[in-house]
Amino acid sequence: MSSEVQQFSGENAAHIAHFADTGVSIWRYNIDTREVWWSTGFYQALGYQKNDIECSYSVFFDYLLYYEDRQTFLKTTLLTSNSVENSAHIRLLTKHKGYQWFQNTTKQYITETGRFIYGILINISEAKTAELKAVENETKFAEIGRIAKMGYWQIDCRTMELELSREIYDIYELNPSLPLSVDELLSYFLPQHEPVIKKAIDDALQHCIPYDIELQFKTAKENIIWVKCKGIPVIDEYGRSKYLRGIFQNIDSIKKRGITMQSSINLLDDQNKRLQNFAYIVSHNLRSHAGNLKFMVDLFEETPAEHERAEIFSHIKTISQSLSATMSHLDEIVKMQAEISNGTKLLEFADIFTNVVSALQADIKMSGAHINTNFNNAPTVNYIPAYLESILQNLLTNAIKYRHPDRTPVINITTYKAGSEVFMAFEDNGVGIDLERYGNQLFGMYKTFHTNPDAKGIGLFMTRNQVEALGGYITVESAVNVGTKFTIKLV
Amino acid sequence: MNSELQFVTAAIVDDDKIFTYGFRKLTGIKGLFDEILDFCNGKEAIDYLKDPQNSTRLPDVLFVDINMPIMDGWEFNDAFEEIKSLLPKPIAVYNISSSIDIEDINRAKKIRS
Repeated sequence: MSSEVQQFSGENAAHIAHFADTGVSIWRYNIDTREVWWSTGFYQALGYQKNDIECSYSVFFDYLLYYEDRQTFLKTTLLTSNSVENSAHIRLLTKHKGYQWFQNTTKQYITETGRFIYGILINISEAKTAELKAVENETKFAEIGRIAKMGYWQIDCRTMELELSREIYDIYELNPSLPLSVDELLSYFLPQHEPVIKKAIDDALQHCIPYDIELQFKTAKENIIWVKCKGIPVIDEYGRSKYLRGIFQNIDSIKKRGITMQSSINLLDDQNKRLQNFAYIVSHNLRSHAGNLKFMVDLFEETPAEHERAEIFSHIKTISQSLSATMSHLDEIVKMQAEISNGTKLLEFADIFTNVVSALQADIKMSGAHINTNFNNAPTVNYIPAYLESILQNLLTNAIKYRHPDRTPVINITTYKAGSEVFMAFEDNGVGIDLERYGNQLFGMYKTFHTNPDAKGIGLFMTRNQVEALGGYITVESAVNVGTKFTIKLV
Repeated sequence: MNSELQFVTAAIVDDDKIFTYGFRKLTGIKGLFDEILDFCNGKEAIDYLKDPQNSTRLPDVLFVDINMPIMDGWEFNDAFEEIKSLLPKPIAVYNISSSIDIEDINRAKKIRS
C-alpha cells in the first residue's frame, strides 16, 4: 500500500490514498506524461489481477473501453475544462462478465507536479439492466395491448380524474392527445347499452362492485363494435373505492364469431327438433295404420258372417292404401334430401311457373282461379329446380283447395329482391286459417285443419323443409275468410 | 259396466273411420256397451254434449283421440272442463292415442291428475 501512496502528490493525495485503500476504483491520467495509474479497486471492479493487464492509456482506451462509448468518454473526460466534474455511462470489458456498465466521474486537477485527470468508476450494470428491462417491458406491455386490442384505464374516485392507455384511444379511433372525461367516454356506447355501463361504473364507485360486461359501442369513425369492459375497484383502509381500474377490449371479431355460432346452433336445434318431430309423426302414422290392420284382421277372424267379413276386408284394403300413401310420403321426404346433392341452377320463375300451371291445369280450370304473376323485380333465382317446382305446386294446390266458396279465387305471385336476397310472396283470397290456434302446427306433418277430404297434411311440411334446406325461411299471414299470404325467402 | 244392470252409452271421438268401425264391432262382439255414438272431431262432440236436446241421450264414457282436425283431443279436454259442471250426469273421459311422444304422454298425465 505504501508504494501506492507515494505515487500521489499534493493536497489531494491524502484523500485519494484514503479511497485507494477502501477498494474504490480510481484511475489517474497524467496529461503531460500520459502516465496512467489504476487503484486496486479498479482491478477488482473489472475482475482482473494486477498482472493480467498492462496499466496503460492504450489498454484502457483500445481494449477495455467499448468502441461505441469512446466518443462519450473523450467528450466527458479529456475535453473537460479544469475543476469541472463530469460524469458519463460507459461500458468496460471485465475479465469474466463481459462488458459492464460503469458510471465514470472525472475531474481535472492542476498541481505543481503536473496536470492530472482523476476518475472514479462505479459499476451500474444492475441499475442499467433494470432500466433497459423497464423500457423493454413497457414496449412489450404496449405491444400486448395492441395485439389484444386491449387498453388499461384508471379513475381516481376522489377527483374523477381519468388515466387512459394509448390502446383505449386506438379502440375509440380518437387522437391520443385529446383529453377525455368519463362521461364523454361513456357517450360512445350505443343508446341501449350506455345505461348498462353507467350503472356498472356507479355501482363500482359507490358499492365497490366489480363488473365484467360485453357491450356494443360506436367509435369516433362510426364503426359499431363489441367491447369487453371490466372494472375492479381498489379500496382504501375504510373499504371505500379509491381507484377504479380496468380493461377495455375490442372483442368484435370474437363476439361476432360467437353470434354466428349461436345462430348455427339454433338452426341445428331447429333441424333436430324437426327431425324428432318427423320421427314421432312417421311412427305415429305407421303405428296407427299397423294397429288398425291388426285390429281388422283380428275382427275378420272373429266374424263369421260373410257380409260383415266383406266390409272388414274393404277396410283392410283402405288401410293397405293408406300405408302405401304414407310410405310414398316418406319416399318424397327422403328424395327431397337427395335432391340437395343435385345442386342449384339459375332458374327463370316464369319457366317454372308455366310447368306448374300446366301440371295443375285441370284443377285451375275447375276452380276458375285467376292467377296474377309479377316476376319483373326478381326474374331469376339460383335454386334446386325440383324444389322450386314443388314449392310453387304445393302453394298453388293449397290456394285452390282452400278457396273461398263464395268468390272467384284470385292468386297473386310476386318475386322481389332485398339486397342480395330473393323473396317470393304468394297471396290468395281463400278461406284463410286461424293462426292463433293453428299457427305453430301449420307447417307440421300430417296436420290438417279443415274437414276437406283432400287434406293430407304433407304439402306445407314439405315446402318448409325445402325452403329451410336451402337456408331460407317461410312466414305466413292469414285472416279467416279473407285469405292467406305466404312470404318465402328463397336465397 | 255391466250391461245387464245398466244401460251404458259410449261415445268415440276420432277422425279415423276404420278405428271407429273396429271399435264398434269389437265392443259389440264383447257386448260392452248398449249404444255407441261417434263424432269425427272434438267440436262435433262438444256441440252434441252442449245441446240441451241431447241431455237425455248423453254418453257415460268418452273415448277421445288426440290428433284430429278442427278440434283436437287437447282442445276437447279444455272445452269439456268448461261445460262439465253444466252436464246432468258425470261422464268419464279417456284419451286414446298411438302417440309415443313423451310430451304427449306427460301432457295427458297432467290433465288426468
